[in-house]
Amino acid sequence: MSDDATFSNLLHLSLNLLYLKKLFLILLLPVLLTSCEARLENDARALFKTRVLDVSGNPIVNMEVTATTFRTNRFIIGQELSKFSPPDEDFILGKGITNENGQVEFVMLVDGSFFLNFNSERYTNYKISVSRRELDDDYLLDIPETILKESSNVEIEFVNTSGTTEEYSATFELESLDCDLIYSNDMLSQDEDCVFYNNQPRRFNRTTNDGTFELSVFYPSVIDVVFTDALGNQSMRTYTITSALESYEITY
Amino acid sequence: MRLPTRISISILFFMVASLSFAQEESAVLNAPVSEHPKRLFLTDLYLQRGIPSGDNFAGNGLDGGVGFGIRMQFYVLKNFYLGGALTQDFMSVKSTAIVGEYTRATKFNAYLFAGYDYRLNEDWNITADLGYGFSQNKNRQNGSQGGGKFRDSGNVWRFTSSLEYNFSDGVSFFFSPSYEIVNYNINSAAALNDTFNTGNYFNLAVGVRLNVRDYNNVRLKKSDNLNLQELQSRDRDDLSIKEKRRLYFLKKREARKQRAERKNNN
Repeated sequence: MSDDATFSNLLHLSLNLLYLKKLFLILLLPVLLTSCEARLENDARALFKTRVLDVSGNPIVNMEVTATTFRTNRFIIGQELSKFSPPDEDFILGKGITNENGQVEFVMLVDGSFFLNFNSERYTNYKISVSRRELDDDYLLDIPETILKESSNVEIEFVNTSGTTEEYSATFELESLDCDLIYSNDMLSQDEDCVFYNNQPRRFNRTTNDGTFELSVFYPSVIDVVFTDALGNQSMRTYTITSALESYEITY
Repeated sequence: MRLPTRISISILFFMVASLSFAQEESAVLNAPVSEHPKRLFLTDLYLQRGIPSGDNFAGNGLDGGVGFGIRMQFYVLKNFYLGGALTQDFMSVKSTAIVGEYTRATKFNAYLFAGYDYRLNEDWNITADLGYGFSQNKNRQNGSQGGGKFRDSGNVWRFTSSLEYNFSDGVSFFFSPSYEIVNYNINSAAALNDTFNTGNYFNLAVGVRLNVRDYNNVRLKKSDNLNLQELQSRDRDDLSIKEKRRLYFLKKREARKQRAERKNNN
């Protein structure tokens, strides 16, 4: 009898525990659902304006300009995941279209740092990164002129005409499409960290046909190519990029 | 004619029409108003259509929708009342260029109010009150905008009027136009301040009003008195169950009235 009673008590206890567990999960569910919601900054509207020009100084008309930011989620403990969505699913903070003078102005939602995207077939890669600090407390970002550059694919081929078997290295100083343009303190510049890694030496002449480099750059711009042989002798070439597709050959 | 002007004219017309109509009714019925049980407390449940108005982000950029609300009020002195209310309105964005990149806004109000209840006649009442409290728009982007959410908060002043038809002492129906001015605390660029500082909303509501009344001081109506006398004069065994029940409640009401009178005299 006592064994039966103990078994019955244990059964009751386990059922109670199961019930409590279910109750706990049911109570936890709304907390999880509400705390994972994607949030933008409350009680905030900024104003963005600029005039968009091409490199010749002509206004670019009917171009869509958008302000976007990464989708982030804040969790219960306050940590924030910086990025886990493709760019086309980012938050759109605001958008507008340039008028006949190339001017665009729009109301913008706010959520930390953001990107200004200039969307057209000719300027597909033009994106400017802006820190939240640039909005300050006046919630205004007024860039007097934004001069857009087009993108170019440049092929630089090192051709071994001397028959040397030494390993060479080359560095390319260029306006790479891979590095963010950053607008800070009324200045537009490229992300220095990105430029540093982009300018790291690249080796060639280790195998046959490994001397071709394809570079994606803004144009008009200048590419400085510095290549060095195993003894440390440096040579330099400078190319001015003026079209969407260019190729150069360097013999060594 | 602009929308705010049309709204103002509509309110004026509604007030004048309801007053003149009520006076006619009153003259015809000639009802002894003082014999009506006084209202102590009431609860309103209603549906409303919110219409954003004014030259601001709400009036120019938001589209009104259906909302609902609950109000509770108690009577402090004669026909003056105090109360609290909660409302929720579902709106959509008609111009992202004006309000920003989102598609839906849900306005929540929580406010306290004070007002006056005027009894026109046996069937009709009008009320008017002024409230102040908290207002918040919960804004939401659609999927293609990123699905983000954020809030615009502020303080609301709300003038509410109502025309009420009493179906019974306990239940009445009402039609209620109201006007809200929300002062938002939105941080914005100087050029946008005028647009985002305030939002105005005109609301039209219909709902049911549940009343709690004070029956202690109410005399029996003439017909009830005759009914009581007639029932008392008959042999109790001849009364049906319905009549016995009627007699019981009439006697109870009469006793309650006499108790209240004794209490007042002492």
